[in-house]
Amino acid sequence: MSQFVFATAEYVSGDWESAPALPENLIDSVARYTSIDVAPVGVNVKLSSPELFDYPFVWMTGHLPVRLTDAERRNVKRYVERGGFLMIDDHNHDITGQFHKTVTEEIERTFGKMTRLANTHELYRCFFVFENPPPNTHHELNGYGDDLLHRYLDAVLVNGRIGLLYSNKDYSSEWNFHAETKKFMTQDPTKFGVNLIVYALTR
Amino acid sequence: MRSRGSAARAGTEWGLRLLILALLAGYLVHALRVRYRGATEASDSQGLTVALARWSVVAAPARVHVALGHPPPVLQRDWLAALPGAGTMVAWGSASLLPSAIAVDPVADPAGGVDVAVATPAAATVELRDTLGTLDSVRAVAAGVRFTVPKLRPALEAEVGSVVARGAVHDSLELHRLLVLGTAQWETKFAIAALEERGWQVDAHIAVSPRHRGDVQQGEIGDVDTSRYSAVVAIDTTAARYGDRIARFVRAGGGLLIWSPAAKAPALATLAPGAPGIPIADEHQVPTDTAPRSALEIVPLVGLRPDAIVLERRGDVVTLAARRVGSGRVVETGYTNAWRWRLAGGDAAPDEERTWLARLVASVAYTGRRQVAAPPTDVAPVATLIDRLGPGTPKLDATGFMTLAVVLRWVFPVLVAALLLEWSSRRLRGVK
Amino acid sequence: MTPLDRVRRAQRWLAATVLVTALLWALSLAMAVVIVAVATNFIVPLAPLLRAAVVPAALGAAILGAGVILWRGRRARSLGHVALWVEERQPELRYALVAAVDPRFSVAELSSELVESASGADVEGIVRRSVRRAVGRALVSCAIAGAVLALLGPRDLLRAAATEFARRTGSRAGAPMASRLTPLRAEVLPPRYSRLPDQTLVEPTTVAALIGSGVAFKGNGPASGVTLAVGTDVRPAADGTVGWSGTLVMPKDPAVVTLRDRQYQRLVVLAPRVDSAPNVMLRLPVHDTTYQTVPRGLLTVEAGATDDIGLAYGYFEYLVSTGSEESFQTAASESPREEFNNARSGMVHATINLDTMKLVPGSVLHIRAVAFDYNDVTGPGKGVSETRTLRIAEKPDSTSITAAPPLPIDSMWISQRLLNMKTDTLIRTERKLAHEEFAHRSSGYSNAQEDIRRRVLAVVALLEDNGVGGSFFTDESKLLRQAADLMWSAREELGVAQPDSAMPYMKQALKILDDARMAYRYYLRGILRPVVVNIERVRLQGKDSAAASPLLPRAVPPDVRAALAARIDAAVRLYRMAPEAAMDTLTYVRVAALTAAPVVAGALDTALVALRRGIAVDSALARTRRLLEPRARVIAGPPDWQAGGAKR
Repeated sequence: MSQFVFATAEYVSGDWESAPALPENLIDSVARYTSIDVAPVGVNVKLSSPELFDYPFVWMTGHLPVRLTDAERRNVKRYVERGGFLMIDDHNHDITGQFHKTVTEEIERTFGKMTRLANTHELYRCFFVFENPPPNTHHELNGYGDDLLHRYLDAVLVNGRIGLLYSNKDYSSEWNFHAETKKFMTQDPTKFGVNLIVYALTR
Repeated sequence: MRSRGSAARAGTEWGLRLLILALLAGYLVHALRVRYRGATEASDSQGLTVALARWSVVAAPARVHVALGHPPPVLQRDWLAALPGAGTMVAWGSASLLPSAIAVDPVADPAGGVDVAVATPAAATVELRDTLGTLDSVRAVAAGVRFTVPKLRPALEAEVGSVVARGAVHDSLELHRLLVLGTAQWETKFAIAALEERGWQVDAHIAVSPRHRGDVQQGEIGDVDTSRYSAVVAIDTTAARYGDRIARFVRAGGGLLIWSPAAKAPALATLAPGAPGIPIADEHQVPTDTAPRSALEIVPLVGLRPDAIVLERRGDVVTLAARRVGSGRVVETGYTNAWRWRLAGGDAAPDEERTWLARLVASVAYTGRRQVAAPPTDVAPVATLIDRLGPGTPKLDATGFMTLAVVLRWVFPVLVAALLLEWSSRRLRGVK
Repeated sequence: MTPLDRVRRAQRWLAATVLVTALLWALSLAMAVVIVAVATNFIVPLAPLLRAAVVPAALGAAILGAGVILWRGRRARSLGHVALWVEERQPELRYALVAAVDPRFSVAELSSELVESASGADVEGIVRRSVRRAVGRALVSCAIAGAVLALLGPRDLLRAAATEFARRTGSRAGAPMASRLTPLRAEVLPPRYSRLPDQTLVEPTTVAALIGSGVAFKGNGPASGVTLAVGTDVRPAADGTVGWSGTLVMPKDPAVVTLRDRQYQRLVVLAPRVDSAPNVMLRLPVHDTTYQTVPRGLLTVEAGATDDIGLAYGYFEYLVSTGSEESFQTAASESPREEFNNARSGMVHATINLDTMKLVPGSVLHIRAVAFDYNDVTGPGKGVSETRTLRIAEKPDSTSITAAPPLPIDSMWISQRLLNMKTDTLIRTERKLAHEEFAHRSSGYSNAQEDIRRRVLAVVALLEDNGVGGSFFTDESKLLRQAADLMWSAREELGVAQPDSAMPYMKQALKILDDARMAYRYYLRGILRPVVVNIERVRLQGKDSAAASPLLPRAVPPDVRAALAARIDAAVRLYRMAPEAAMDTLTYVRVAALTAAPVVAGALDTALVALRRGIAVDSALARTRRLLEPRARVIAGPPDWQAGGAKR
C-alpha cells in the first residue's frame, strides 16, 4: 500500500539541503504519535523531475534566493493543482530577505496571490489542537532574520484545500535536530509537523 | 369485287378485332382467377406507405409480400400486423436485416451518463447517434459493443447496417452516500477526493492514531444500511472494525468496493471475491494515457472464490474481480496506488482516474429507481418485426403478369390503340 | 329628350362605369398579388426583400389594372364613339344615331326619318346592360379575391411587409423611423503605446482589440434616444459629424455592449486581447555551474527577448548570496538598460566583472534577464528569463557540526572494511564450506565490491565536474580513481571465487579510502546519507494526545463547460418561442466562453452566423454542444458481470 515517504525538494537555485536532520525528526514524530505507515527514511526529489509526483508531500526550505526553472515551475504547478502538498519554509525567517522575496514572487507568478490562512483553519486542529496558531518557533526572535513573530501562514488553496503552504516561521531551524534529543524536551516542538502531515494525508 | 388492298385491310381489321377479344378474354380470365384465388401483391420498403393504404382501402389482396430493406417504422409494422385481421396474409423477406438491439441504462454516478449496450452480429459496424448527430462508430468484436455516454439526450439510436434500434432511459436513479474506510494514506485521501469531486457525498473514517481522539471522521457515521449508503469503500484492514455491519449491508443489497489488502481482514475476507496476493511494485513508471493502470502497483487477487467473476487482468494476474453476496455486489480491486495515476499521469489523468473509480463504485452501488417519461423507443426492431409478423419468407410472385401496373402500362393502351385502329380503318374504307 | 341628350347621358354613365370598374379591377388585382404572396409564404417563407416588395407590387398591379381599364374605356370621352358603340349593339340604326349626334349637322339639317330612327335607339337599355355586366364582373372578381384573402389571413404578412418596407425606405410620412442601429460601424483606436493602426469594422458582431483600446460605435440618424450599455454602465450616444456616435474603452474581461434605439436592440461582443508580457530567453551562461575555486575575470551574459507588440528595454539582474547557518547576505545589482525602441525582438548583452562581485567560497550568484514592454494600460508587461545559478564550492572544512551530514568517504570506508573482514572470514573457512556455497558467497561479495566501486566513482565524477560539461582531474579524484581500479580487480577475482587473489586489491583500496578519509572532509552537495529511523522502537511512544477535528467535505469543483452547456440548452428551448431573445442569450454565453472555453466561443460564433442565415437551431448548435460534452466512449474496462474480462 502507499507508505508515507518524507520527501525534501531539491531545486536548482538555492541551498535546498539546509535542514538535513528535519526529515528524520518528523518521521520520528509521525511514528511516535500516529499509526501511519511511514517509511523510516526520507528521500530527496528534484522539483524538475517526474519523480516529484511519486511523493504527494514535499518539504522545501532554504536561505538563498529561489528562482524556479521552467521545468520546476511546470511541475510544481501541476503537482499542487492535482492534490500534492508542498510546504515551503523560509529558513531565514526574514520577510525582508531574498528567500522570502524571490519565493513569493515565484509562487505568485505560478499560482497568483496566496491566501492568508485564518488562525481558525482546520490545519491547526486536524490532529493536535493549537490554541494560538500558528505555533511560534524559538528562532523567530533570535536576533537574526527580521526578528519578528509571524502571525500567519499563507497558502495556495485548491478547491478549498491547502496545496501549497508558505511559512516565515523557520520551522526548518526549529525541527532540524536529531530526533533522539526530543526526550530531553518538555514540549515536543515537532507536533505541528505532525499536523502538516496528517492534514496532507487526510484532506 | 374487293381489291387486294381492301382485302388485306379487312384482314388487318379482323386481326385487330381478334387481338381486342383476346385481351379482353385474358383479362376476364385473370379477373376470375383473382376473384377465386385471391391476388398476391408485393411491395418494398420505399412503396410500403402507399401500398398499405391501397391494400386497406382500395384492394384487398389475399396475400401480400413486402421486401424490406430496413425494419419498417412502428406505425407501418403495426399496420402490417393488422392486415391479417382483414383477410390479407402478410409475408415479408429481407436480405439485409442484421438483428440488433439496444439497451440504455443510467449509471449510478452523480455525474450522470448512461451505459449503452448494443447487441449485434460479430464484426458488424455500429453507429451510435443522439439528437445532435453521431456519437461514435465502432466495429463490434464479439456479440456487440458497449458505450458509455456521459451526457444523455432524450433518445439514442444504434444503427447496424439498415437497422436502427432506438432506446431511451426509463429510470432515474436515486443515489445515497458513500462510506469510505481506511487509514491515513495517499490512497484513502485521493480516493475520497476523486469521489467527492465526482459529486458523491462521502462519509469517512480515517484511522490516524488509536490514541484518544486520533482518528479523523467526516460526516455522521451511523447505521450502515441501504437507506443511508449506496456503497462502502474499504481501502485497508481498518475497515474490519465495521465488518459485521458491512456484511449485513451488502447482503441487504448494498455495494462494497474493497481494495485487495483489506481482504486480509477475516471480517471482509468472507465478502471479497479473492484474497490478496504478493504485491507487484510499480517501479515508478509514469502512467501513460493509453494504459495508465499498467504503471500502477498491484496486490493481485488470488484464491478466487468459485462464484467470483474476473473483470480485469494484467497479464496472468487478476486485478479486478466481482461477486454477488446476498442481494448486494462486491468488487475487489488490486490497484493499491491509483493515486499515482491522478498525480503523475497525463493531462487527462485526473479526470480519467476519477471516472474509473466512479465506474467501479457505480458497478456496485445500491440505488433507488424512479420512472421517468421517455420518448417512444424501438429497442429491438428485427426481433419485434419477427414477433409481430413471423419470420421472413422468400419473395412471392405477384399474381400473373396482370398487375395493375401491367394493365395500365400495356394492356389498356394496346386495347385502345387496337380499337381506334380498327374503327378508323373501317370508317376510312367507308364501312360502318 | 333628343338623341343627342340621350347619348350624352349614356356617355356619362359609361364614363362612370369605366371609373368604377377600373377601381374594382385595381382592387381585385391588388388582392390577387397579396393572395399569391400569402400563398407562396405558406410554402416558402418570403425573404425580407420580397416581403417588402408585396405592398409596392400590389399597388403596381392595381395601377396597371386600372390603367388598362381606363385605357380601354377612353373612347367614352367622345360622343361619336359612344354613339358608334350603341350602333354596334343595335345595327338596325344604320348609323342614324351617329349622324344625329354629329356636331357638323344641326337637327334641322337632318331628315325626320333619321331623327325618328335615332330616337328609336334603345340607348338606355344598352347602356344599362353593359354597365351591369361590366360592374358585375368587377364586383364578382373583387368579392372572390376578397373572400380568398380573408380565408388566407394576410394580416401578419402585410404588417411585416409594411414594416419591412418602411424600414427600408423610412420615408413614408407618418411611419416610425427605422432603426438607427443599422447600418453600424465600429472604429477601433488601439492604445497609443501599441502604435497599431486604427481599424474600422462594418456591421460588427464582435470587436476584438487590445485592452484599453477606444471603440467608437457609429450609426445614422440623430443621437437622441440611442444608448450603449456594458453591464450596468449605460451611456447615451452623442451627435457626431454624421449621425450618432458612442465611445467606450475595451475592458479587461470579455463583455457584451448593448446598443439600444427605442424598441431596437443590438448586441456586440467585446473580445479583449491581452498584451502578453515579453518572452525572455537566457542564452549565456548556457547552464548552471559550480566553480571549485573563486572565478575571476569577465563573464559574458546574453539574453534574447521577444514581444507581441513591442519591447521597451531590458537588463540583467544579479543576486550574490554569501553566508552560512543563520547568517546570509544577498546583494542585488543590475546591468545597464538596453533600449529596444518598440522592436518586437532584441538582444540584451552585458559583461560581469567577477572580481567586483565579492565572491568567496560558498557564494551563489544568480543571473537572470528582464525585459519590459511599453504597455501603459495594464502593464508594463515584465518578462523574466530562467535563472542561471553559479556556485562557488565551499571550503572543505567549512561545514558546521550541527548541519554536517555523515561523510560519504566514511561510509565507503566502513563498507570496504566490512567487506574485507567478510572476505577474510570466507578465505579462512573455505575448507568447511561446500564449493557451491563458497562460490555463491564469493559472488555476493563481488557484487558488494562493485557497489562500493560505483559509489567511489560517483564521488570522483563530482570532484572532476568543471561545471561546463567537461572534467578535470584533482589530486583527490586521482586517488579515488586508483581505489576504484583496485576494487575492479578485486571484484573480478571474487567473481570467479578467488577471494584470496582479491584480498590484496581490497586491502590496498581500503588503505586509500582510509587516507582520503583522514586527510579530507568532503561536503558534497546532493549526497546526503539518509538517517534511518527505528520506527518500531518509537511507534506510539509519544505522550501527547490528539483531538483530531472532523473532516469537511469537498465542494464539487465548478464545471464551467457543463454550465455553458446548460445555458445553451436553455437558449435552444427559448429559441422555439422567441428566436431573437435566444440569440441574445447565446451572445452572452459566447462572451462567457471567451475566457472559459475559447474553442467553444469560436464554434458559437459560427453557430450564431448560421442562425441569422436561417439554419435550424439544432443543426446550427450541434457542433457547439458537442464540444462542451464529454465524449462518448467504447467501454474497454470492466464489463458488466460477464465471464472473461479485459486484459490490461
